[in-house]
Amino acid sequence: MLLAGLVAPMVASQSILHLVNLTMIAIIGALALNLLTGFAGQLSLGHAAFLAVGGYLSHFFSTLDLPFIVVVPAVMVVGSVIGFLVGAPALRLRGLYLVLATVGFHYIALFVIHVYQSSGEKSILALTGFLLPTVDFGIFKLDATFKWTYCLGFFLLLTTAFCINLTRTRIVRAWIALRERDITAAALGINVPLYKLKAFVVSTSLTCMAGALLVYYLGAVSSENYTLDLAVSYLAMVVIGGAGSVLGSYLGAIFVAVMPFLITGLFELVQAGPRFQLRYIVPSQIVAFGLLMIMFLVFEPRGIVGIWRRIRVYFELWPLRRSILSERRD
Amino acid sequence: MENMTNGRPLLEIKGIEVVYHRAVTAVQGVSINVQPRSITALIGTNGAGKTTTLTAVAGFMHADDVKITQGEVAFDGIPLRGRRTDQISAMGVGYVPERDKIFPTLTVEENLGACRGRGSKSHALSTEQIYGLFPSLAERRKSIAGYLSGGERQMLAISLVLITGPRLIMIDELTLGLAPVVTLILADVIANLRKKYGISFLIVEQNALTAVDLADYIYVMENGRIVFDGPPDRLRAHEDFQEFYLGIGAGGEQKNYRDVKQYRRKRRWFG
Repeated sequence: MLLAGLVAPMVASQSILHLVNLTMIAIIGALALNLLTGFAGQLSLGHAAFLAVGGYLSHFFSTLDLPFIVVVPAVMVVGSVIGFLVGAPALRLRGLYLVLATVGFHYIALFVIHVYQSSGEKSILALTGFLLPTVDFGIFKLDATFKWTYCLGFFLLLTTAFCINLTRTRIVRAWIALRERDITAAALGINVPLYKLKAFVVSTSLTCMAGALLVYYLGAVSSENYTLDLAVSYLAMVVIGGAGSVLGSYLGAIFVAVMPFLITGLFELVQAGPRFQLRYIVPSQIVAFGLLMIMFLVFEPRGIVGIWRRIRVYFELWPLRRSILSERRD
Repeated sequence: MENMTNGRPLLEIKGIEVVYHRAVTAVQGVSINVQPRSITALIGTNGAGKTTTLTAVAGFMHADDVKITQGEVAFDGIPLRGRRTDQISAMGVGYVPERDKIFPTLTVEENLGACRGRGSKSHALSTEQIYGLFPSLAERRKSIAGYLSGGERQMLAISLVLITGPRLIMIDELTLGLAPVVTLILADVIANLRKKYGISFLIVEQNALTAVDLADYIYVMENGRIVFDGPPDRLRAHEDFQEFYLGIGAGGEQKNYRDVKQYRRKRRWFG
């Protein structure tokens, strides 16, 4: 299977590889948001803005002629500083108030980026965005989609390993405690403001990395791509996949990335005419997306990973299924 | 009448006044001493200010608009006023709140894991020691804490504090809503913890009988003030205490609730 995974990018079609690449970046972004929202319980709609910050920082650093392998860590470092700056005033906010504060940050960041974009050299190109150079490692260039698949796969592996290891540390245990009940957590000796701040810093740093990877992969960055819709769809990945779960970030990101293609496939299956498709595909994608989010919130708050766990437990216990009551010996 | 039997108290609350929203005074001139290796109880009716007193010691748990405006709180001689809740926990003051005392979506094991290594680590009990104290928790270590019974929740809440290594544990409503048999188990564990590990307790109780049985020293609180304090025997002999809290009339006969209530309306402590 590992071999198949290694060989597949060389033979798969361009469009599928493009989808795979975007999904991998989405998974990194979803992992980052899941640390903040899923594990630490800090709801944020500022994710698109953080991705944008990552993208524009990459452009800024690349104009200084820094290579990709320097730019990405630099973006992460600056990103963590921005996470600190945004997290610090948000420490006293909870729930809905925090969401609104992050929306506020979204608009401020986008405004600053817009100013940055329009105040540079006044070519028509700069008004719609900036181009980024092709990534050059010296021995080889990332000039083909399949090469990017390997590169992004590497970053995804690193991020996943980091997140899995992090979930085993006392930091994530503290995040979970303060997500559950911050007051109780404080009474039990957890420094709630400090750990909230840590969640913002780590999550923002990873998000900025995802933002950097995205703009380098696409070769361009434009402020129009970073809408509040994007922030909502990342939150949807976390909710649909499963908040507070590394696997959930994978499942949610894959689900959200692949679903539009499933709906297109469905239209082809019922052999809808091209005009019908043109008219209804996009609206039905949006409606299906909204409906699914509501359905997950109502029926499966733990997301796809909740369904997965139930199936696994069922097969682990099968055929010796017992009720919970019979497990108690008293 | 102060509880000053042997040297410096472990916890010393000296004439504190607590004000909510810069307007409402909840507690006034309250002084409480908790001696090392002792069990001190704080009893009183709802709204007397018992919980406010405990949270004032515990740093108010991030509550927004509440302040100690007068008086001092010291733990082992170190002032606590102005410190954060987690810093106070790290000094060795454990607090079991009345509600929201456990992490309901985590298992028992994960609950303990979330608190391990916090607080003052030097006195921390190990997971095995805790399971030894509460065998029923050991049996349910893989269960989701939200599904535990009321008694098991209280046991888990005390365990979570124990794992942070406290020298003093404050428990808000130790036995509220618990079966008599569970109350006995908890009282037994508390006596044991004091004997074996030298932990002191400050316990808020509604049930005066439990308090009298368990504690070495009792404070009675009403309308934000301490109205009586003394060892349990002296309190037992006090006529007002018998009337209000034990429901026994002057002739030794049990009084019914209605009589007690009317008597209470007529007369408060010492006028």
